[in-house]
Amino acid sequence: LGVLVIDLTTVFRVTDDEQVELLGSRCPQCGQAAFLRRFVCPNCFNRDQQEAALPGRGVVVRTALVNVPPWGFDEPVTVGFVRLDAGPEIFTLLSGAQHLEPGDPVVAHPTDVRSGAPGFRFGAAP
Amino acid sequence: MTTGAWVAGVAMTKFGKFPELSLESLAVPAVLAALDDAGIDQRQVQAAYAGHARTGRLLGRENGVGQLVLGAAGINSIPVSGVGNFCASGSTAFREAVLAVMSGLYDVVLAIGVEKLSLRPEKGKPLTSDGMEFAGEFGFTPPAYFALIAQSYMARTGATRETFAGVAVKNRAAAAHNPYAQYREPVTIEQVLAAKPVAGPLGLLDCCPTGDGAAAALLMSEAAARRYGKGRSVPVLATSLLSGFGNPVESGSFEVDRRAASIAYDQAGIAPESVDLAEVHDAFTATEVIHYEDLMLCAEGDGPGMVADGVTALGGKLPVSTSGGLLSKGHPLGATGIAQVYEIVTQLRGEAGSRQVDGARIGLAHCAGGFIDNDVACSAVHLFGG
Repeated sequence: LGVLVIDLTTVFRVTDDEQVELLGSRCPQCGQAAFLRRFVCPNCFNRDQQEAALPGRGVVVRTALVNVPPWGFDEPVTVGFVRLDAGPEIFTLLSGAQHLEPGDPVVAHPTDVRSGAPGFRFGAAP
Repeated sequence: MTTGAWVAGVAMTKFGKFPELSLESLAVPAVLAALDDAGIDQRQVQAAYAGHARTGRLLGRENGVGQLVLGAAGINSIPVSGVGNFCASGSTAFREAVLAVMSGLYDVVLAIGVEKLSLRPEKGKPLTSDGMEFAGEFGFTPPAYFALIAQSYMARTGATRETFAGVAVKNRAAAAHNPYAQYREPVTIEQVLAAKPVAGPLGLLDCCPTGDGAAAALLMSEAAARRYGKGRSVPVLATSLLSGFGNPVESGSFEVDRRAASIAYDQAGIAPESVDLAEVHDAFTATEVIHYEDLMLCAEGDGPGMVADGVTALGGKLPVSTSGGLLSKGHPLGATGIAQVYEIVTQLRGEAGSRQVDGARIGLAHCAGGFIDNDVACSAVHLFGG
């Protein structure tokens, strides 16, 4: 398909105790966190942004069952936006989503994504 | 903005699936028809902008589509620029042509838009957008994204799947009057609701089709429009384009549209209530309803009533998507924005035949495109008439 290969290892890591951390940035001046990384703070325009590992925890903003997923997925998937506890909202795969409502706490866990590469998705917090 | 640019000629091809046609075969007829419509020939065109969004990825021609098409149409030795801005590539090419005329540098500028999607490899899968490979790893598709926004809108306003289905029915009914539309057979609410589910509340008939097509518009200064016969020329009252910044999944609205529309109304010196008809970016049924509110064609929360009460249907007080919209006319990305201009100008000229909006004086064209962060990447609003 001529599709670009995405190197997901640059945007997340799994800690020794199996916690997913998203590799974003944080502004040392105002504290605003971002994912993906920013070079200038979207809040205060400070140019000195520091790399930051954002915990893979947050709450559901909205979910949708996708019956016609993009190429590479054989089965319907559930996707949605999650607001990380660190601040940023991200688009993500969700598991067990029939039980998830807006506002529900979720955590990220390691799993393969579309291309078969190691990635993550969010599910209900234990 | 003063009425410094006039649409003196406009044309489009029938939208549909034409895998046998090349980009030139698709677009040259639109260029020639726009010249004929304006009553000029190739030698009067001083500059051109060409909108196309996926020709690089799908056809191996990321640059030079404008030169390719215009050369085939007998136009060369002028400045030609390609314009890529996602689904709003055509709208943005049109805006560049407007600005080129307003700058005073040129009197006659051509905007074209063309796209060929029928040979795309991911058939049966939603067309995705430039720059979304990373999100695609996590299941992103445009219908999925807009399904999330649709649900926020439903939670905010009480809109239902039936509300959205009403848009599909309405726009298909309008398309029956448009010979250039890709789909013209009427559909019922029941058919829309029973269609194959795609994402969240959106089924197949809630989503615009992909297809092929082209459109062209000739912009002129007032002096040139007068020289070539101003009678059928339509003034551009406003051109507004913004990049995304909002969070529509959170709010169930497109703040970028609201701000772009405010700028356009200010430029034109008119109130939203003056708009007689609109072409909006109805890539999905739900988004058309949301656009009513963000373009200030109704009050916040009144979108569902606009559909239910027939306000935006042909014959209603404020018809929207009289061409059939992206949902039924089709959505060959680069061509779409200029095809919207074709519809508005045709209506304001009083030449829209059986879909004519009686007494139409002011028309609005709105096109959004792409994705950036959690928002759409851009929103373009143009106003015409007066």
